[in-house]
Amino acid sequence: MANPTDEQPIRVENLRKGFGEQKVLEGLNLKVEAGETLAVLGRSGTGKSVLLKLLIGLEPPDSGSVRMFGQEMAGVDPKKLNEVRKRVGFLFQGAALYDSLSVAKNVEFPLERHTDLAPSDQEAKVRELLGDVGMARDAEKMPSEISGGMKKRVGLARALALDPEILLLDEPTAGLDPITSQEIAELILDLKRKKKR
Amino acid sequence: MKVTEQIDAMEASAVDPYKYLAVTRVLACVLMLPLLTMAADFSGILMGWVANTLTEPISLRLFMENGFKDVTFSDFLPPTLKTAVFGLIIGVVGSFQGMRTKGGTEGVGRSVTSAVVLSSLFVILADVLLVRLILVLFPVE
Repeated sequence: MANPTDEQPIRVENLRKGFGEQKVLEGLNLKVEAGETLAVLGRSGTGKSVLLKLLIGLEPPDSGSVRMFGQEMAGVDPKKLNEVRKRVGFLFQGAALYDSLSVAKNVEFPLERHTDLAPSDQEAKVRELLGDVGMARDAEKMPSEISGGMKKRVGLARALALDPEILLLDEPTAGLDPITSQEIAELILDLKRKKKR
Repeated sequence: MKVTEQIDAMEASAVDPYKYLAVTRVLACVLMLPLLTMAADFSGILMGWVANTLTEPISLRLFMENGFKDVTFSDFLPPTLKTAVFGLIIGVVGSFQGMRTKGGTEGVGRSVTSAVVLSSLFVILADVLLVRLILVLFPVE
């Protein structure tokens, strides 16, 4: 019989991570259930971004266990790791848009590589995603031509491209003015409501 | 790309950045360096003729005939093809240094410097070894 925790979206046990002498995470335990929204608050340098990178397997833990959908994320075969990553959307703190690709191509990137959609369907999906984040008019612009808030929106659209079951957002409003921060927060809540429907 | 988290973003999108970024660049270097060498050879010969003609006028045909009189296959092909190995070194060292860049724009500068220094060093070493190998395989008559 399958263990009920096997498909638990996020389960972290006794996680430790440090960089040299600096201990960032010490014995962290965490469980996130499906449909749950969890916000991690803390001063800068307390390991929020590190935690998210550990969750997606971009950083290896010093000890402890990180499981996503029941899959251990550290020291596993890259193919298994990538299967989990396809189910997770990640918005980086600085958006991390590919600077050699246009806004539309940035959003299309995961679709091109992980779906069998025809090019016309991919374009339609990109238009829909950019429309959802209010960036449809800027699809052909390059990342260097758009503002920080717009980059975050595009990053969010890219994170949503594969209809992820988990969305990890690393300080989605950091460095933005209060109005844009409010807009991004509302956008995230809107997307959550849409996904629930 | 590393310092702006673009490589992390690629990994988070379940795309192998080594395949997508490094392999393509290494292949491009391996293929293009011999072509670049041939372009340099062509320019060298042409400019040699121009320089010669400025001091002592000579027709291009005569210049080529005299110049290529004693040239054999082993003078051209092995030295040109060995530059593919230089391309491999430049591509691998450049990609490796790029992938492990840390510390913002300063880190990018450090990576570029070490990539140039290391690839120059390895190219010189590879050149010494390849010249010896070419001399063994294609001995000078």
